[in-house]
Amino acid sequence: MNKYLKLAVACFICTLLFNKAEAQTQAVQKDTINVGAVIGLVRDSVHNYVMAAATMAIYKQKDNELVSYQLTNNFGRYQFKNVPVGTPLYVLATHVGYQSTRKEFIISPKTKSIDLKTLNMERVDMSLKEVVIKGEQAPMQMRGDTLEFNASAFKLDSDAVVGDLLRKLPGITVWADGVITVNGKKINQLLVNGKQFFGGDNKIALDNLPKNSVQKIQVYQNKDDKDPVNPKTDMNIVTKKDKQDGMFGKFGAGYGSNGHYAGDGMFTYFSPKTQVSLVGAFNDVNKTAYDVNTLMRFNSFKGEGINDDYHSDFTKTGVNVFRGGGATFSQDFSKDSDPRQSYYKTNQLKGEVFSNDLDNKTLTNSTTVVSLSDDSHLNQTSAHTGHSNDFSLRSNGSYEKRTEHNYITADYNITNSQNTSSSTQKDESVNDVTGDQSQKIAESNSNRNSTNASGSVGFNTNRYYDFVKFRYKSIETEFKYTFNVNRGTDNSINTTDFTASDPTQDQHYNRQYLKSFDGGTHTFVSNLKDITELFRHNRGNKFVQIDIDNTISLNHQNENDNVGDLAVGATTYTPNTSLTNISHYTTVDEKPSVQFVKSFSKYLDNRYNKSWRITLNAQGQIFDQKNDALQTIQNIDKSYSYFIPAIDFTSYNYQYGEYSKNYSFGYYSSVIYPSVNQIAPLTDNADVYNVYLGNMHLKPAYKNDVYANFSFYDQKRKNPLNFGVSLSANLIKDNIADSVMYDALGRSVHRSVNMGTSRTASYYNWLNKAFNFKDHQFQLDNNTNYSYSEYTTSVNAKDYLTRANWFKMQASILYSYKSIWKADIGEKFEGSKTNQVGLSRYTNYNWQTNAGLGFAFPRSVFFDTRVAFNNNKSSAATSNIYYTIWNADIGYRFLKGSEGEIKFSALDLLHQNRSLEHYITANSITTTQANVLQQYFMVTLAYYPRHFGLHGKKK
Amino acid sequence: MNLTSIVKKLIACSCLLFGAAFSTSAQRVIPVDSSKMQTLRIDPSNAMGGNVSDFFTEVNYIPLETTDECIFGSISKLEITDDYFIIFDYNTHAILIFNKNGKFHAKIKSNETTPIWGFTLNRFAKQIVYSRDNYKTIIYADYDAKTIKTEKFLKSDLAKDEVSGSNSFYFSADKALTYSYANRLDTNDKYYKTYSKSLIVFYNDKNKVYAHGLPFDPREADMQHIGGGVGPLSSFGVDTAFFYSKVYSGKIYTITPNAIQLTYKFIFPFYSSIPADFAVNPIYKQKQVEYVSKHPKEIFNITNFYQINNNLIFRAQTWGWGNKEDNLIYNLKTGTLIAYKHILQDEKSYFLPLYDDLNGGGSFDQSGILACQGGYLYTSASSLAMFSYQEKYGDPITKSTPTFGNETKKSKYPPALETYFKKGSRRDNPVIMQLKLKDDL
Repeated sequence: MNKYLKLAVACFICTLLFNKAEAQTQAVQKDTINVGAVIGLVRDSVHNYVMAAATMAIYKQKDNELVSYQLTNNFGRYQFKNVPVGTPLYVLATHVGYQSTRKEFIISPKTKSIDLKTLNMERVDMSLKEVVIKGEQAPMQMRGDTLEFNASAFKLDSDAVVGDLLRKLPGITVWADGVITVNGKKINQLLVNGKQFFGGDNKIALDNLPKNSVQKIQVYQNKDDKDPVNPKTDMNIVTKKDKQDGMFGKFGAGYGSNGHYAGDGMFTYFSPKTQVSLVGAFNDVNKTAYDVNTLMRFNSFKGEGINDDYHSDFTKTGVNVFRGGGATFSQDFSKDSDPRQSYYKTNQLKGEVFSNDLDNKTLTNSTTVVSLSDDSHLNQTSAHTGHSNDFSLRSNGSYEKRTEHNYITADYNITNSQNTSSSTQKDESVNDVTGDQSQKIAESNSNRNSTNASGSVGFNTNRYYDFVKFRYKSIETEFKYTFNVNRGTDNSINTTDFTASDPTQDQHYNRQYLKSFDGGTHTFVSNLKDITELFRHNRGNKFVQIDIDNTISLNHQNENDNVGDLAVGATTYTPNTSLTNISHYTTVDEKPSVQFVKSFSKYLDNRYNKSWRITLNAQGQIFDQKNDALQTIQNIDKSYSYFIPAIDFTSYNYQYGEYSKNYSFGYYSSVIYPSVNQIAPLTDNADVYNVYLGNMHLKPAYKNDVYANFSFYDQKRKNPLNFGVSLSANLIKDNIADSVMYDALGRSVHRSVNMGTSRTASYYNWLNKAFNFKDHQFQLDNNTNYSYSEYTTSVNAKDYLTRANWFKMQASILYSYKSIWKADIGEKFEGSKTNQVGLSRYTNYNWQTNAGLGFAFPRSVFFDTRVAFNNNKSSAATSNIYYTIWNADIGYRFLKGSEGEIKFSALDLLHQNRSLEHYITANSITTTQANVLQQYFMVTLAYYPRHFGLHGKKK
Repeated sequence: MNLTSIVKKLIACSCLLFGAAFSTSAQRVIPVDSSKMQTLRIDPSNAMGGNVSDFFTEVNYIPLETTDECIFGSISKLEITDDYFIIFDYNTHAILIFNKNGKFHAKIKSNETTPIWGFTLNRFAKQIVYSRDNYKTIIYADYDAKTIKTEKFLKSDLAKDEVSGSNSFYFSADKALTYSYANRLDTNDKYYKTYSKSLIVFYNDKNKVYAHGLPFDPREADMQHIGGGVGPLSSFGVDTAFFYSKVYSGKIYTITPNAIQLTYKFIFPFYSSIPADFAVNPIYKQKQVEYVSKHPKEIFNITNFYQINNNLIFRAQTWGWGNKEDNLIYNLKTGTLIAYKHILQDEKSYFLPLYDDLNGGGSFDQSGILACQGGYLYTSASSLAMFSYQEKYGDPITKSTPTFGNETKKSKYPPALETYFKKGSRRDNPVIMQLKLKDDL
């Protein structure tokens, strides 16, 4: 372990040293050449004023290489430092509505400075719409409220993508997770030509759109935002006129040791109105994805690097063969392409089809220790061989139309899933005091097929301002209907052989289950916000805002179970009268509520905006539960009504240009209703080790929650710090808990019972901070979770108080240098401890230290490696278990535009991967080991077809 | 409904009808004199810049005192008397009175439920007229904020030929004029009672209308109005004359107690003109806001219109953001056109900006040049803008003219500004700017 740690640390230090060396080389260069200073003034002398916010860019005369650029200040002045001396240069001044002006100069190495005095700019005719500027484009310019970066001014490799361009722009940071910040401020949304690009996942646009298809990047502020210092900021990528459509994709295949294989494919087309994508993947190396966007992100042109999530998941158990694929489609019907106008003109249809098939073969061995009393334990072992196949075909779509006055949405989702599985399992149980033993061998073959359809239709009205009447009209309402219906069959045959040290207890079953089900839930939500507004026409403050909300949910579920037993020697199954059942289950869940909202706010222009809000939700719940069943024991007709109030206090304190603080605290209540299977299950004696009995007297549990949250967001532009803390606690009266009776053979009989009050308290905090030093960036991230719970369970008719603690902490530092080098180091800790007072005490702790290092030189070699050191300590094992997973990839990009890629991957280099899971309940600890993917090497070839400007080219 | 209530209602109705008939017959309509109209052809894109000292003889920054008692948001209305600045602030719904040196003098606070929405200054009676209960009562206060009298006004909505007294201009101790909007033509409107039939309304101390000016054009009904700036009525420092800028027309009227004169008609170049029939053509009906937002270069309104001798000061309002050629100064004699936002700060303004340039000037555009009184123009800047500017440019003189590191120039502020920058902060009350234009531009 130590050896690898040293290796990783050495790698990390090497990276830093390399960067330092590079920085030093640059510094040496700077000392001799880049020491010049340039100052000057730009004026419109015809109109006699200075040009503020004109773009000044210095280029080398020789090759038009951009040296530096800036905007003139309010006084029309500019001042450059670190400009090369003794080199022929020229400065180009540009401003919207003016002709570009150029002035050539050389800074004398002696004086090291030059005053270019006044540069005059001349207007272009105002009636001309767009001026075509020949020659060099200004790197950036102000156009009204919009800061524009002209892509052509930034020289990058021909295969650079938008993400690379953004990393070059001053003040812009592209974060590991695709978040973009401008001067420390998060971009609200990233648009391409004013529209969302493939579902709005930033990474898809950043890692695929070529820099060369971009005309300009616009950054502008949301004008409606009240904060004058830090309003919301949006970014829009404007593509070149002839590059408004395009296609990009990837076709890759890999073959490796032990016959491992992987293949990926993606094809994507976009135009201003239409976006279509097709994706597919197959592999046996634990790379799975369940939607089109995830696969698109993984198949991105610049998807590699240490943050790439699309590596083999070494934590998955068994041998997995995955096949998946799908398509998305979106069509925009709106006419307006100005992003600042289009929000209220959204008119969009979207659809997705995705199918996946996962074949899993898992062998697991587990050992469980069950504490029965101070000196008696059940030692149980279990060996399981399973083969399952899960297939699912999903189709979903949505339509959205937004106008100033209302908002209509509709969506649907249909999923068909088929699952077949077969397994054999051998369980053994030994009582360490009585010496009683038992063994069960079970075989199961099952086949499940189900179709689920859901959808919703929603209609919202907005309150809007009428410029004729000078008043607000309408109120805010929401009406939504959602449904979720399902239908399917679930058939299985299970054989069970139970033998025990007491042969009279031996049992044998061969049982067939033929199950069909159908049902659905229909929910109607209606919210009327601030109803008093309807009757109020005069201005003036109202006392309290009243919202009337109602949610009614109707659920029905029909189930037809045919269960039969095959007697020894018989050829047909005879019906099992105690398990064969027909049931009709219906529930009505009605939640009316009246919300009283009192808000206070205090704001002073250009200083602060503080608001406080108290919400009192007087909510009731009527819950009807009815079950009609052939097995009359399951006939239930219960009706409950509860008052489930909630109260919330929220406060915002927004100090413009300094910080914003939010805090909230409150209380809410809810009811946990017992299910039919908790009240009256049909006891299946074939599951010998776990028999479930019902409890007709089970009462609903009433849950009380309290919470307090605090968050702090820095509004300073440089190196912002953001953090949040949450505390919550709940108390459940009549908690529904497990009461279990074990016999000497290890068989357990479970019943749900109301057992006193349970208590839970939890803590959560998050923190992130970034530091920027020129091209070096550090990102700091931390999350901490802690929870404590206390509840009572019953073991062999004795009540035990259980105290459970769970703690999880994660901290990491990510370092990046330009878009070439990346390194990270992080630590994770997770621990849990359960103490069943007077009976048992179990602990389990996991530590993981991980480090990663990667670099990608444009148009050539890329490399990344990740190492994770794992350490596990558990009360189930006498000594700690250490294992390390080390992966590395090295690849090369070739062909024109780097469209070809060859990659060699070495995974689990140390051959140490293992699956080890500890599962702790109140009175037991289970350790499970399973077969997992281990060391393999793979060579992958990929081709990235990329064509942008399909229609432009034809012309 | 019982008989007595029917009888009561009948009586009330007949009284109203009688009253209406009587009052209508008693009111006169003041005709418009268009004979002296002057056409002004203005091309904002050719407005000139220059230095502060080229155009102004005097620039004063008056920081307003900041205490817990008198802290407020921003100035949405400013009136200047001999001794005081009287300010209305929308944030705190308060009327604040400061001495001319910026020292806090008095304040009229709002109560929580029914805030104050504005005030009218009666210079002749030295009274501040306002309401704190949505015009059920009208309060007359003196310059020390002390209530002189409270008069019952109306129980609910305004009756015909009564005005609420907000946004009015007094031209004598007991007579004032105010404006109305053409959209109130709609007699079926359930929210606004038609109480006027003209754009200009003259009324007396009983809030009764006695004369009308500029009758409504029925084609202008349901017109959408866009706010921003001072207007359509503005006072330019003359006690008995006011300017009225008619929306979407480019026409400026001079309103005096007994006459209405069409004084100026603006004509802008083609690229910045809204259609000539914008106000009346049915194709723009209820679509005025949509149209101007899609044509951000077109000037749709003249606001903040003032005149000092030969200089006209106004804002040619466009929807576009960051327009630097919207606040203009035009000299009638020489034809000089100056873009206010292009005026470069210099020693005369202690290198401080002439307007609140936060958010690209967005804060300034909210209200613009607030007042014109006694030959001075007045505007204001937030302390956030003043201190941000100070932080960005440090000592403005040295930063404004970068040299190679051996500069020694230091700006010298007058004592009040010196103290303000030393002891104040970006959270202080706004600063009033007082500017005196040269006559011969």
